[in-house]
Amino acid sequence: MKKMSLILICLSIIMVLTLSTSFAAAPVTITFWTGYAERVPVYRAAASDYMKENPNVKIEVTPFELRQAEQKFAIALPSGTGPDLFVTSFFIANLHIKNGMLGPAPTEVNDWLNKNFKSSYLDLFTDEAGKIYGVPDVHGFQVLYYNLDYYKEAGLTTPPKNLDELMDYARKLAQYDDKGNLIRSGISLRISGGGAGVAQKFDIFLFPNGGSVIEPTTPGKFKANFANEAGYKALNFYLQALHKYKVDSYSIKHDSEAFVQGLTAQFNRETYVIGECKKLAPEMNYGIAQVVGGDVQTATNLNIDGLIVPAASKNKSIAWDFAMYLNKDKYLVQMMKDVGWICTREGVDYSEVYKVEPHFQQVLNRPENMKMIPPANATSFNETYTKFSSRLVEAFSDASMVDNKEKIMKFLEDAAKEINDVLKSNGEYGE
Amino acid sequence: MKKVGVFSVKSYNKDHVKFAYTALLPIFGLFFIFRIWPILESFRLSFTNHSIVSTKYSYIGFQNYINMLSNDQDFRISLINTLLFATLITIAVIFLALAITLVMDRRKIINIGLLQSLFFLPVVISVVPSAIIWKWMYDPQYGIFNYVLSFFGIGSVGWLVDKRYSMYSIILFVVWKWLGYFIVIFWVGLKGIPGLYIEAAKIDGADDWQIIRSIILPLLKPIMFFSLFLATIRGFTIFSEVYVMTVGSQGAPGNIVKVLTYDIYERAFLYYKTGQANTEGVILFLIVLGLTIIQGKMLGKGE
Repeated sequence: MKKMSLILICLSIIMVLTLSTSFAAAPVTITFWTGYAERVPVYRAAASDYMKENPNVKIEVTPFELRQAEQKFAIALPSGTGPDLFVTSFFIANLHIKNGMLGPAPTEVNDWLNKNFKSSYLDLFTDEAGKIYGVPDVHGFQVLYYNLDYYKEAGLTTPPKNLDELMDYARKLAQYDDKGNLIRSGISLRISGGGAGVAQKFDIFLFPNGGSVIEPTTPGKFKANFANEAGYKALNFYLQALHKYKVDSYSIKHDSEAFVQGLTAQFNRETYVIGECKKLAPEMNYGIAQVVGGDVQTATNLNIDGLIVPAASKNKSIAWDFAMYLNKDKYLVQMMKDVGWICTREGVDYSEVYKVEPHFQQVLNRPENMKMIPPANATSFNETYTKFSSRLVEAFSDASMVDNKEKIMKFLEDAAKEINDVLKSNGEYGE
Repeated sequence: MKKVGVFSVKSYNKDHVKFAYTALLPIFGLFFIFRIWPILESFRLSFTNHSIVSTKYSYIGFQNYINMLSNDQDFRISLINTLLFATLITIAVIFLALAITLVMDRRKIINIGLLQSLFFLPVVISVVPSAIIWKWMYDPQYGIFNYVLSFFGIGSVGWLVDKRYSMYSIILFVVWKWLGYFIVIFWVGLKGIPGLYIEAAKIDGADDWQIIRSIILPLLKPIMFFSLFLATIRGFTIFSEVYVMTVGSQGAPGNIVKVLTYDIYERAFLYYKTGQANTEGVILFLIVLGLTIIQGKMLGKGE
């Protein structure tokens, strides 16, 4: 009997040892989805280093097209089939926070976040109970890009300061052929395309006079804020540019594509365009300034992406650990230098990047009165902005609205009613 | 042995029938899971306020249907655009395909196989790459369309971004994409017409136009109805072509070319309102079903 018991004990010990060894050796796979393919080389470099330091961890970084990534993530969350780590805009993260789909940062991550990030950035990933759900990654905000050679040609030495100056500059910079057709736009505006983009760009023209597509009223409540003087000035700016002064046109290229090809003299865009210019037009002589201000304020939009961990992830602690690892100086510098996105962690020394690409210094050289306005943290964000975009696109093409305050205000009031109705239907409207 | 037509088949007993049904059961099962069940689910969800990002939802009766049919501007615009798209594309594709097929047949073109391959080529290219190519062709500054116009002294046109042209630009692309498919259908139909009738008409002195009008077109009626039916359904469910053409700052304006399938996509995957998206899907299903029944009856009469 004693012999039998001894054998059983030995067998149990061997089994426990074998199982524990095999568990220790079993690699843990962390799935990391992103909709930003251009950032993948940086994420993969960090993943490779992390895997060397943690041989039991395997990190799979999978890029998707941006909208596809957001949709895939939204569908996967309720069924618990999502990734362990995802990077997305804070207002999308908030949608999932409200629905209880994300896991809050553990205490040690929480402490690290509070030490390394501005509280205003962390607030964007924080719920009403004060729990933080994301590690801020990169941030984007619009700046004014202008072609220095064209400025020189037109005798312009400093960037414009307000909407009136911006239009004056555009008129001096626009170029036409013998038949009067625009061949170089004075300013490239977002006047077409599906989705929310048109209204997001329009925000920049509403801000100087205190407007915005939607604005928060009380916590969790919003209302349209463009059926006013700010809306009139912004819309009339577009209409004048297209129909009165003809400094932009439907028959010319737009956006960063136009800028790198020298087909526009100035336009507003996020900082990633610096990377695009470096790659596609390395010889181009251009400057960057803050977007123009107005009577009420000088402001630009702020969008922050964050690394978030789904509540259903089985490897939360490793996912959070890797999210912190991604914020090492080395990767943040690489993100700015190679990709053009600026990260949000405090205390990073970017002097190495400024030496090779001084434009980044111009971008970060913000005046103290410059406001950074984040998108309204409303679940109806996409719906309100997409619907307003559709309406704007139609208004832009209506030449009879130029300088016609009555007609413009009627349009803005109708559009504001639609936006407020959307907010009401989602229980997010508030005076 | 039972006689069925010219073949003799063995009578099967109950066990054989049972075996056959058992063998088919997995296929029926898969068909139910992947085809029937999603449709039934779609009907069910159309009566809810379901959101893709939440696990909680409730039944709201016909509220989605009432809202959509009474005061939903997006639905109204999408429905009008879909009707326009489907009608114009169907008319253009059927007319052109028939005309090209008849010319190829009547004029005895030598390298007809090559010509057919050229027409069919767009059909085999995926929608997304071909839409991107066309987006380049429509480019206001480097596109081939504006380049050709420049020879006639006509200034640059914003084919996609200018709302006056955006819908027609997408229709032109779709017609180019689908034309070859319908040419093949008409070609097969044409080859099915006995040469005897045409020879007889020729002997009686009929010219090409008389042969087309009195022999070919009446005999092609079933094929024409079938093509009409197919093109209409495809026209109503067009999505990728519109989606790709509206992406980005050089894309077509949202509302001007918004069709029902695009609106369904926006509600489901941008606004996460899957209840509403399913309602719109059911309405689209009923429209297409109605058209199918009407055209089916017409097809019956045509035969």
